[in-house]
Amino acid sequence: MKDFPRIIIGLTVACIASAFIMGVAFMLTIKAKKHNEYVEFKEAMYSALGYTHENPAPSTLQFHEVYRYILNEPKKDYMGYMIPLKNGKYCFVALNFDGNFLYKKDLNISEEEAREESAREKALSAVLNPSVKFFYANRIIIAVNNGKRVAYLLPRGFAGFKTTIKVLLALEPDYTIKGLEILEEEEDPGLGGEIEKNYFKNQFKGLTYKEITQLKVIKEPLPEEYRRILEQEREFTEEQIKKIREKYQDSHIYALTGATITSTCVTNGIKNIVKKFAYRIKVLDKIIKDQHINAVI
Amino acid sequence: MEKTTTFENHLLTVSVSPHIKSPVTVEKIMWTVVACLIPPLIMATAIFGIRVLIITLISVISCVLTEAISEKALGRPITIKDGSAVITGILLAYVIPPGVPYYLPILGAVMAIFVTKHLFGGLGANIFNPALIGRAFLMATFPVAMTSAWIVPKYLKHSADALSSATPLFIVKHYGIQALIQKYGSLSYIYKNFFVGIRPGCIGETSAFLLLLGGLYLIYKGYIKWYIPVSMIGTIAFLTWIFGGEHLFEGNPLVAILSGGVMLGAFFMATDYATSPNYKTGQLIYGAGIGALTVLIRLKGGYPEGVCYAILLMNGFTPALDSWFKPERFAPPKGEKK
Amino acid sequence: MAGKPKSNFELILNGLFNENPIFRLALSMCPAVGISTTLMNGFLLGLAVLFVQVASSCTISLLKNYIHPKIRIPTYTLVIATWVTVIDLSLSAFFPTAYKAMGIFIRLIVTFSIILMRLEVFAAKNPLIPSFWDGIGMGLGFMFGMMTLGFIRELLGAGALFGHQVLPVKPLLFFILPVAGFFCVGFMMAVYNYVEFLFKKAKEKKMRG
Repeated sequence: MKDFPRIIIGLTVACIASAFIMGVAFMLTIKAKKHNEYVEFKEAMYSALGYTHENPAPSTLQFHEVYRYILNEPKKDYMGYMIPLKNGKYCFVALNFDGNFLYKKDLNISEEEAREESAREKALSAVLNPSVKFFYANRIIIAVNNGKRVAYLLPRGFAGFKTTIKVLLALEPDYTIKGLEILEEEEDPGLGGEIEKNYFKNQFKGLTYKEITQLKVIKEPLPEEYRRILEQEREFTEEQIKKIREKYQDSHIYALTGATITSTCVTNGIKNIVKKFAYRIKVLDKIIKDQHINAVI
Repeated sequence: MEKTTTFENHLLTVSVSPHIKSPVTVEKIMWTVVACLIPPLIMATAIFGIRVLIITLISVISCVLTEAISEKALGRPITIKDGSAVITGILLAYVIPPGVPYYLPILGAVMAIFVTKHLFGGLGANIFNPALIGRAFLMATFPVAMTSAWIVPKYLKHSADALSSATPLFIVKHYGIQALIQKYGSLSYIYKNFFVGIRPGCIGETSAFLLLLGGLYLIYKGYIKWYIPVSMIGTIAFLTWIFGGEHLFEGNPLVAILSGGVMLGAFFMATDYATSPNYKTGQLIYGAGIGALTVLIRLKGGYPEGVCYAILLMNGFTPALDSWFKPERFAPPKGEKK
Repeated sequence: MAGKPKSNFELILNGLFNENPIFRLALSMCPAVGISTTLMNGFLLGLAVLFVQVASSCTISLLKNYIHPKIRIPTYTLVIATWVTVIDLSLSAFFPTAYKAMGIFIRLIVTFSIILMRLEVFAAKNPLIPSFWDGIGMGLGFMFGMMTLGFIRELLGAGALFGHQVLPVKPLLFFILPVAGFFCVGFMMAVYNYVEFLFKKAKEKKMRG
């Protein structure tokens, strides 16, 4: 009993000291970390679009981000999009889950500022009714070149075998998969971790929307020549790639040996992402057209 | 007080009288089992070709050699003459597909004899069935060879297509029982051929008739009891009948027990002395457990066949079953506390 | 631990052989089995453990007089967590490429029993210098164990070393699976015991003349 104060003081001091050290480390590193993450994400974006050092992206290529929010009013749920406008600002469009237009508000926020979630929240709460609660859902990055849509980039997450797998999916305007990058995963190294390898993720490349909707995993060994094409695409001519892809690529994904569950998770995850996205972007385009929104996308 | 306790303990270790001296030895049982396993091998050689004979020989020789080497290395008396390594070798060959490369059974034999049997303490001390661990190891290591190296048997009429050599269970699992009937013409043709043993499958599992004959002989001689085979096959048939079809009670139990490794597993693997329970109730439950797990793996699992894993899983339950279902005479009197 | 204090060199050898964390103390078996599928993974996790072990050992041996014995385990955990966080944050900020490879391993370390055990058994009872060398020894021992397992498993499972294909085929896929981790640990323990047995025999022979 006599030790009680000493124990309490000791624990408190230890906690405060370690919190202090961690806090200092956090303050010193957060900026560099954010920057690294941004650079990394940019790299993943280019690589998902298929650009490399030898084949750089055109300088006219621009990225515009559309943010999707879930809104919650008493007794009513609906969603809204933040759409970038030609004047460099955003507008907010609310629509119900059936895709019918509800209302439109202009936001005073530039594209650069909108990258920060807190800035977006501020701009939104300035124009929305105070009784409305809003939650950030996800975003669509639209790559535009000379006023034409080149690709959609979707940073998404889904449940893997162990934790959430975060991916960046690049789609053509007709929803054909342009590329897939794994941003974050914590599967077993050597088993499920193999989803980061080219021979797995490149299997998704070039799947058309119709193929994706019927996508399934098969437990057959990956044919050797298909594997070579997937791993070292650059070493082959376009004709060879096309021929081999036609031979093996159908609405199925070859599972990783020893990691069927992870393979199934990724395949189903991507299938769902594409299906949902195809529906949502149609609705969004219709709203933009009907409401005569001067969108940059 | 001290003395009486030791006295009682001492009493309990002696088995119940009468004590008959029997001419049955481990050696005699083992070689009888080997003899019972020979007819299916002749059948397999006839339908798959000479290749299966070579695989079986390689498997047996490598098992016996591994046994001798491990016993020498671990300083145990060398017991290759008792035939148990020969049985493991034959059983290991019987549960792998006929078209595998020749080095596969060697690796399986090392895993079965050295790791599963001798590292756990030698004959009688192993927890898991050595031949099945060998197969499980090969399944994990060579998934491609172990699931695709089937050979189309001779004398089998069928419509030639991509599924020519696929096992019946594979076809049933992925395409349904109708596809199987379409492939072989009629249901009666399937029953007839599967019973005789003309079907694709692992080396020693095809001939239900010959395995049944061998098993019945072992039961007649009293070397194995009927409890495990009957409860296992019965459970598989019953559960397949209920859940195996598109709707409840529409499954085909006969095809289920005539295909896959059910007969081989029921008579020659599940009844292994060291890895199955010793008493009647335990044995009945053990057999039923294997049957239930087999059906579960076949219908809901990733593999078309589940006898191997079902037996291995129930092997793990054997010590528990032995202590839970002790016959009355070995249990302490009711109501008495320790 | 009784007897005359060990020299620094002996402390390192102790971590590598006599009290090897994986093969003798059988601590931190979960990562040993789960992560050691390749040589590179083994090396990176070993490196991360080495950092955290040395840093925490030094901290505890400096602070040992101020820690109340009733709350020493929570304090150790706090120290380890602090170091793990600091290393995690600084790597992610200043060495993004290394962090990409090591990040997931570093976050795992907080729960490693080997670090806590060395703090309790050694650093809390010894001055700074021996604690430092003990930390180095244990970290190296862990790294050695992980790399041995990684070597066996990557070579036999994938036919590669450090990700480069060295064998023309993938010999035994089995070794990549987690089960094989237990097999390898078991076999390495047997090897360690056998070597010890040989040493003892040689010693006895020497003593008899």
